Amino acid sequence: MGTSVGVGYSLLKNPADAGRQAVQQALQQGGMEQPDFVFLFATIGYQQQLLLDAVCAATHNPALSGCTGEGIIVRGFASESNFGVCVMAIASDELRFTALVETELGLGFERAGERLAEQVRPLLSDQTFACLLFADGLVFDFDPFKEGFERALQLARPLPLFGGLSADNWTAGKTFQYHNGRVFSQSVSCVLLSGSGKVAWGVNHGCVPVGTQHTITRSKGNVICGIDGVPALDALEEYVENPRDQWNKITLNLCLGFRTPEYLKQEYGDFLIRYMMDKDDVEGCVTIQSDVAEGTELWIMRRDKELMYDGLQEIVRQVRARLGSNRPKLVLHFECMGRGKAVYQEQEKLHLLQYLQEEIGADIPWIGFYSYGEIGPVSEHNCIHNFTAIVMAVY
Amino acid sequence: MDCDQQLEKLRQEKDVLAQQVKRLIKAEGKLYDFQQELDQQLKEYKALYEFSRNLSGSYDVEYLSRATVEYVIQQLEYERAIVFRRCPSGRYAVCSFDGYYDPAEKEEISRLSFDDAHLPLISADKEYVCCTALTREPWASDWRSTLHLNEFYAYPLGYGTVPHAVLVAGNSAENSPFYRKVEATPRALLSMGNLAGLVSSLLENQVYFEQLMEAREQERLAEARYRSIFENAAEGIFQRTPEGRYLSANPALAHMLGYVSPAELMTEVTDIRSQVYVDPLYYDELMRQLQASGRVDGFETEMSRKDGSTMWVSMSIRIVRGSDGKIAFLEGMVEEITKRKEAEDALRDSERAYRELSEALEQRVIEAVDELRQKDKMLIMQGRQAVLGEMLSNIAHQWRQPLNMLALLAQDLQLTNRTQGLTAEHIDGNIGRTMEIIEKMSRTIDDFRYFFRPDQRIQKFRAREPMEKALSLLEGSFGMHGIHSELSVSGEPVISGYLSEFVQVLLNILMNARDALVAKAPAAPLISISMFSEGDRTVVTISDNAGGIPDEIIGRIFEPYFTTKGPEQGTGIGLFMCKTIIEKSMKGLLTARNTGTGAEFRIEVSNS
Repeated sequence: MGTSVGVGYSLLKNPADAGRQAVQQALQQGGMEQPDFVFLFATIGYQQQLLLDAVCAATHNPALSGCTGEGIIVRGFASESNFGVCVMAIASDELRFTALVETELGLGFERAGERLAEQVRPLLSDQTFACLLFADGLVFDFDPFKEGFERALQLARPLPLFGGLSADNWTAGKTFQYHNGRVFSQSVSCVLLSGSGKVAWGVNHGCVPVGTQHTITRSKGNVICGIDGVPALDALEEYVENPRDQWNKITLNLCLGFRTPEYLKQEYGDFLIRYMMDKDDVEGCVTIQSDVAEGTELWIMRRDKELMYDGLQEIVRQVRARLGSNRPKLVLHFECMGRGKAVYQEQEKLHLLQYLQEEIGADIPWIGFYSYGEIGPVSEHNCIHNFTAIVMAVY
Repeated sequence: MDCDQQLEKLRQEKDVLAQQVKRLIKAEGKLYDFQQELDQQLKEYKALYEFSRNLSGSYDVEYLSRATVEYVIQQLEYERAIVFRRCPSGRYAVCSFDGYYDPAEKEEISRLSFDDAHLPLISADKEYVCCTALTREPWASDWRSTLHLNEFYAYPLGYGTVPHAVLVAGNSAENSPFYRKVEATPRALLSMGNLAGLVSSLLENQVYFEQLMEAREQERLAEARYRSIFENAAEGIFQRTPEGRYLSANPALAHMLGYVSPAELMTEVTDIRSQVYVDPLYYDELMRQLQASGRVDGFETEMSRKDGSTMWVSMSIRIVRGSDGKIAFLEGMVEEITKRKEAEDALRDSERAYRELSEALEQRVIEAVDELRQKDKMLIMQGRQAVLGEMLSNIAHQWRQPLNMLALLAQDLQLTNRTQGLTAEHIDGNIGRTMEIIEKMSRTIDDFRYFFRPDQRIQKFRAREPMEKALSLLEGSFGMHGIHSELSVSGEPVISGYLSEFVQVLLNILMNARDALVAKAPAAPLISISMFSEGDRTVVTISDNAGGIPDEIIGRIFEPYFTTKGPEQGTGIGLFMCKTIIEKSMKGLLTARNTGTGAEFRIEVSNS
């Protein structure tokens, strides 16, 4: 039989109708009646449990994983609104998708990583080739989580991690993760990929530094409190007016750049990009999605459309290089929400998406979402990224 | 330039650069904002264009309504949208709605309606109503609850003072963060305004089209109805030329005239005057009347069928003129009335026979009435003659003593002359006495004549007078049977009527009382008479003490030929005659009753 994959989407407002419509399209496209596994990405406007119930019912309750995003991505189409849902239905006798969930982020991200690893370890085999993570984009701190996860797995080579951080479009104050028939918040939904398959991927951002180098003078974990000796928010005022009042807009246009470790530089470039996911007006702190130490150099970064376009070509190059002559069975796409309508016109955005999709391969089932953070390995190191596009092709 | 100067210069350049970057970032941010808004507007206009294009060929108001609410939900990204459409009753009822509702809300919304009284909310001078989450006017809370919307726009659809429909779009309180905000900003109003304007235009077209279609349908139905009437009418319907050729005819006319079909009729009849009219002069007369008045109704004539048989028809026909005033054609209806004609003839015969019968019957009734009148007269006459006989008997009885006295006086003259010789004194005394007796006898005759003189006219007389005369006449008879009579008269009552007939009544009643007293023989036989006035009437009562009339016959005593006496004593017409005289001739009333000691007859007659 091999692998059958179908993708469907819906922009209907009624969660039950939208879920059914997306599944119907996916099953029809995949030529299947009952999938083994379903990826589900949706936006924040739906009553999430009703949506998930509709999808599960229409697909006969297979294993399922996914999360809310700022928008949805399928082949030839992307929508960034509060009402969009996309479904990838997979039926395969050569690939195995095992859904897991870790809900105890409150125990600490490192511990949560360990706990997830404990679930993963018994399932590992020679055929395990990747792990997908869909984590809460409002709270998730990737680095300690990764540390705990990789340490607990005790693998000679890290299990490649891919995925994205769930989003809420700044409306709900809450993001959602899907695991089988249940909806969670402040959790990590996980999918272990096994079987006779491999992944090819590409990672790129399109940001350039503006201004000169700065130094973190005070920080704790993933919270940066001082830059160049002044509160972080005050330091940002050099670049924007009133960072406290127009935070969402500012964080879409500006981000932080850190010098890329030497072992990543060749593949990823000079800067690791970090999105400022939160701020503390009183303390003047900003929060990012990985830990930083005091003394770390940083740059204020801005998106650059030219670079982003060039970055897509780089992604294509990377994926193609890894694919060789193989044709992907399916593609997962995690795109930073700062690279969507915030910077591109609709047609421009679709044009770039179609370019990417055509270059990777025509008619390949494609699904993804606009995220608050992207996870993908660089030079065999699992990393979290911001303002980045990650394309992961399973072949 | 030393190192410090270079450092300072670099620091200044850095500051300048930092300002430039700041401006650049700000400009870029604004650029992205504008771009995003422009993109959104472009998307909306594109969607609106598609919306318009999809609906431009449609004249289905329901479809437009569904497409509108779908557009609001999918393109404008409000949570809920409702289109209310104006019903013929004037109420606005939900035509379509879309968006996310729970089942209970859905059920409620589907049944929602409001009347014109609520229209001020969207009256003609208001292009829209905007109720934001912050609106606190009193009307807002009612509408929020009714529509299940915390914030909403309401737009009248259509250009009339009374809109054809109303579009409502908005969000519930709990889900509003996920939807486009309802706010009175130019951008938001532009989106809704564009849609409302376009839908109004489409709706006007569609309503006009619906009305047009409705009118056409009515026209088609009317045409079908008239066609059906034309085809299936029992009457013949036609259009024809003034020259006398059929232009169109219905099957009924064709069949009436003996043709298989209207087509055959129109083909074969080329000259109506000579081929259809039995007497062409009728045709000429019809045309003359038509020329004179433009239409003729109920014109009756005899027509020829194809097989030569004839029939009578009634025709209504009118001239139809063209816009130039010239006769375009004649049109009319023909009803066969042969049977009606036959029926009319039969009716006429029947009426004649009835009239003759009626006249004969009338004559017979007159004769019968006359006969009855004669009979009544005869009866009255018989009664009079019976009373006359009785009176004569009384006179004879009363005259017996005076006649004896006269005989004795005559004999006294003879005897005196023989024995003593007549002296002048004796003769004068004898003659005086004789004349006295004769005068008394003469008065009796006068009384008799008083009673039996014929009455020619109604006269007014005192009631006492005939009663006293009657008692005088019966005095001898009463005296012979020891009967006493008492007459009580209150005032001087008068009677207007026929005197002799009234006397006849009194005599009859008095004689009946006498007979009853003779028959029952009470110890002190008495007849009591009283006379008095009551308003415009004079009342006479005559009562006896003979024990009264038996109850079983008291109701029949005024019937003709009813008598309790033997055939030698009574004819049975006395009281019948009395009632006839009092009630028919004198328009009075005669009744009888028992008083306890005897019978009482009461006469009421007019006194004026």
